[in-house]
Amino acid sequence: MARDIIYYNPSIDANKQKLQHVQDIASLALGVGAGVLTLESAYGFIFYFVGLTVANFLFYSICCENQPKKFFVKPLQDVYLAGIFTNIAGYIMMWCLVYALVKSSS
Amino acid sequence: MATNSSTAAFYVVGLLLLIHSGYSSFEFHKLSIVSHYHGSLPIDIVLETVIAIIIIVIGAITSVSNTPVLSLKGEQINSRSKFLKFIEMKDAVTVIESIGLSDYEELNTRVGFINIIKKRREYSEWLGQST
Amino acid sequence: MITPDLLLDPQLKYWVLLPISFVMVFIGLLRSNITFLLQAPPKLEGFKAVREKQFLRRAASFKTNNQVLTEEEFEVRKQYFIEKLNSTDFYAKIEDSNQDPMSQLTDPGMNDALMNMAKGNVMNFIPQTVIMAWVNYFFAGFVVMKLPFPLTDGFKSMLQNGIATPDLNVRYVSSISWYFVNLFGLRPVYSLLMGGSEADALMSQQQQQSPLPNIGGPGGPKVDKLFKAEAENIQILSHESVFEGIAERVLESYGV
Repeated sequence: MARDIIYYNPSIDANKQKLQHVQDIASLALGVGAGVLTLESAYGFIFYFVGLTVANFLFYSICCENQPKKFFVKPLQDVYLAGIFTNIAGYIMMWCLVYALVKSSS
Repeated sequence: MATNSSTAAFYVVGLLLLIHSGYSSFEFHKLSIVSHYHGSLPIDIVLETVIAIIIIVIGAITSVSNTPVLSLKGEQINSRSKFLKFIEMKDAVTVIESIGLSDYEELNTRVGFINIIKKRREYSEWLGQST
Repeated sequence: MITPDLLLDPQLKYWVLLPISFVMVFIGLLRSNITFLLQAPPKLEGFKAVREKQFLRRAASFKTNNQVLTEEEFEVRKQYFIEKLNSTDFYAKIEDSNQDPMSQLTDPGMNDALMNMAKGNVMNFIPQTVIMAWVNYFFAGFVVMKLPFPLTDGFKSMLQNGIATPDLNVRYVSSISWYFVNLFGLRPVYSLLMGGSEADALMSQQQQQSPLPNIGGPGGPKVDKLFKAEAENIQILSHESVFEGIAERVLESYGV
């Protein structure tokens, strides 16, 4: 007889916030990096998606301690997919700023 | 978020590398315009940037580690998981119970329901004992 | 690229881009503090209204946690809840069904709720409009930066606002577009500056009761509807004790 697992909601929220914190910093750092490398158009977006996925992979492999089911309800979706579009705005901001600062036209 | 020394070290190193690579890139673009050089960014700047980003992300990951909790007896209790919190009820409550509290503490110790007369009697008995 | 690079004064970056970012960050911080100050302390509700909500919550928790009861206890409680939910014993106030809907608008509780909503909206909109007007007024009419990615010509009228060069590449944009990029992109910066996600986790622990529909509030559902629906839910509950088949489950979970 399979019973539903009872979840403890504060822990779910705390884990999501920790993931969000890592993704915040990762997206800002990636934005600065993209600006420093003066990536343009599609390369910049590819850099973001690859970079954030690598950051998520680091989070997944370090923080989840080989038992992701214990920390996320749907581990793959929550870690890899949920934050990828919501964090792009911060990335674009840092990218534009550092790009403008680094790239001098004169 | 818990900021410990290793996190701070990661952030400082990462930010220094990032600023340095940014400055190098800035100088490179200035020079390439003056000398009419049309090439891509030198590989060392690219490597420096990528390493800086990885260091900062690792710093961010170390910053989310669980902090030990102080129990009512004054002991430090570490969670069984290093970074995240267990979401299953049976695992999540173990830490809270090991402190000696529960989530429903305010229901168990409601001020309005304290029997003051009894407490006073206990207190005066205790006073009489000790003298 | 066909068009050669436009020469942009490097001083533009230091005197336009950075000031706009700083101002937006600081106004965001200020706004969060002011909204905190403007928050009215929560008002005490009348005991009947509280009782109505609590009763609904009790019924809901009976619905989710009934497996800890024995068969007998379950039946008694089920009867009790169905009876009480169908009667008017726990209503905060008994309204006649043919009441004039306009009379609700003069309800003082309703005015408070509207006032709070208006305050929240004002605090959201005023700073944004002020900054936008400031950016438009102060930094109008010149190209500030080159975006690192191309955009379609549809953005031209918005992002090159005030620049009278019709054939300019859309990647060269005026100050207002930097304002928009900031508007959407500053969330991670705020969350790092104000932080406290650990504190938020603590806060959410204290208020983990599920949000109830605001009964009788503006636009909320009517009490009798909620009570009737809950009664029907309880009517169809079937009892299954948590002890059922416990021996097998324990043996299974320990792998014997």
